[in-house]
Amino acid sequence: MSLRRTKRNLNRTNFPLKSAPPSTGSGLASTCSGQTDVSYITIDLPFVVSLSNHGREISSGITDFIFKQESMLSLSAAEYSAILLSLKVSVVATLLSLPPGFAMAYILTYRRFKGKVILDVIVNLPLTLPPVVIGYLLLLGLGQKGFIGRQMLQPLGIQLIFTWKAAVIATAVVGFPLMVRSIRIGMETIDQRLIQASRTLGAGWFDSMLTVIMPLSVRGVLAGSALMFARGLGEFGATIIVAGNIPGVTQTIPLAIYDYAGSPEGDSMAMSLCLVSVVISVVVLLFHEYLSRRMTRMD
Amino acid sequence: MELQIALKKQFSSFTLDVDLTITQDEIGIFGPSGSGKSTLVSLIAGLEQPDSGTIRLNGETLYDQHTNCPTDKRRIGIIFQQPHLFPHLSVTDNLLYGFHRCAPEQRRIDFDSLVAMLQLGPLLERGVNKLSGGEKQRVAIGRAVLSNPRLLLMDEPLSALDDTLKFQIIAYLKATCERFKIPFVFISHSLVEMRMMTDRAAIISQGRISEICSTEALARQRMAESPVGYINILNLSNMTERSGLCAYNWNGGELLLSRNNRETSDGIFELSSKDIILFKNHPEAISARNLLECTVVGLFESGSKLGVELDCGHGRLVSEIVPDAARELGVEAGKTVYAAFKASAFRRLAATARTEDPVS
Repeated sequence: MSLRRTKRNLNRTNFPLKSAPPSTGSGLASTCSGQTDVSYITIDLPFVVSLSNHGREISSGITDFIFKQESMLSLSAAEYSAILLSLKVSVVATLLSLPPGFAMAYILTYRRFKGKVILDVIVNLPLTLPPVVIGYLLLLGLGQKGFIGRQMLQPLGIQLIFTWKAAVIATAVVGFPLMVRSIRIGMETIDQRLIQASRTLGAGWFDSMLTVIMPLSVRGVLAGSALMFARGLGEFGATIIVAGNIPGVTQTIPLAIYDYAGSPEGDSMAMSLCLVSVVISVVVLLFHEYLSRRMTRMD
Repeated sequence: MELQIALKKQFSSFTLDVDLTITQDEIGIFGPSGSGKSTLVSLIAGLEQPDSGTIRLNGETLYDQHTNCPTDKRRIGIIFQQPHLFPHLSVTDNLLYGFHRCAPEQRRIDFDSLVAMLQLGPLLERGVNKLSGGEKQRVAIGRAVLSNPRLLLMDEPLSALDDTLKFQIIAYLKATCERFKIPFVFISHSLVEMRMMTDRAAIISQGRISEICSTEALARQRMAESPVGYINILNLSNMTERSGLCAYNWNGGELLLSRNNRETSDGIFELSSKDIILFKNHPEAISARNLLECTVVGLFESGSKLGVELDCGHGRLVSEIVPDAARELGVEAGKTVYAAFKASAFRRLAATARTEDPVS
């Protein structure tokens, strides 16, 4: 126990320097000082090799982990901050996506217009694109040389890249199609006649949306939020590119696990965070299930 | 009320092409399924747009090539086939949904009197999903009426209900519209329902209005082709049981009905024109329990059959006969004949499945 602690503390002290997995050190955090030049980004291939080399150690780490239960109960400050940051990023991204997600679902469900298919494809694109691609595109757009970054953010003095806000944006973009899909499924189950009835009773389209469509698609909204929140906790590819992997600043649970998994002594710490991930996901899914059951009973 | 409709709408399978002016406050639109009735309702209410044409209500243009008044501004209420109550609202909130959205100066129907009229009092606090089918439809009627519509469209409002409820709901519909003076268009494919709701109907088939005639004339015209003949609708009351039969009062006269009608003392009954047998002279004895001395009011032709309208003293009945029988009986206006029908020939409209007069 005491040995493990020491190991972990040692490891901790390394963090600010050891931004990316062992030896290669070409990770993003080292480039994260705000100099957002896209060309600096390299893909960390050696990590994959080092990961497979660690395979045996990881499995022994799991055994250690299971048999030395006490170690999993103690989380270091950095791990806490990773957990809190993950929760913060997911919650903020989910809340931010709710209004546009609802509006988009409404448009895609109820409005008929030319180019709807194209809009549908664009909305769903992040679902099929590799998150790394999304992150890269966001970096192109929001970075210092990107159009939005240069024209809109810089004049306002806003620096997004390599801050937790960038992680929020990445999470929001990746999770948005899930949110829209769930809300849409909820909306599609609403009987058209109910909406028509509200219109003939004198409700305009916006009134009808607020008083009929919104309350009746609550289940879809909740499902979408839960799904997006859970997806947000696991966001990795886009986040690491736009927000980097800075402990205490932008290092969320998956990024921390990525770090630990790459270091020889990080197995148990990675496992602790894995366990935390599993617990949070299970809680979210149970909560979601509980809410939808309650909604069913209300019907 | 004055409703002018002249519109065209093209569908893949058929074209709706309607030119209709309605000036009376109560009218039916009668036609088989797929004839365009429901589409016409959607177009009048603004839920769909015609390809071309105009819709005017009381001189106000609701639709033409320049104008398209949105549904919520038309003040046209709809009672659909299904109640379509808002499941997330209580009965009271459902009822008040349209009322709250109606300008205060246009609110002329009072919540409490409507609740009393439709007997909704005990339902007000209940959840919408705890109501029975008939209760739901009553709430739906109340909700539409409380929005104070200029016109109420009823799109087959009874077809989702079982027969027991159908005629109860008709009574509510009719009484409510009369009490609050709401003009209505009643859409149905059932001639019996149509005759109970309105005196006049526009007949629609394959997307066109073929004629506007009285529902009575329509029923007579269809007597021969209908499998149930002409349906005589009788309001009977004050049932007393006598020697194994039910004796009902019919406008002061008495009719004997079989025992299975004894659950309620009043009711609306149907008697088919096919079940009435005519005699030239008073028969000595017959098995049919009802024998009435009648005066022939007139004859009408329907296909290969003749309809004989009879004045029974207490009311009128229509019997159907073939031309040969007419010759042998020597029926003509003013002549006295004897009409016989069995006690078992009556069917309570509220309790039988054979009241429908399907249009094929």
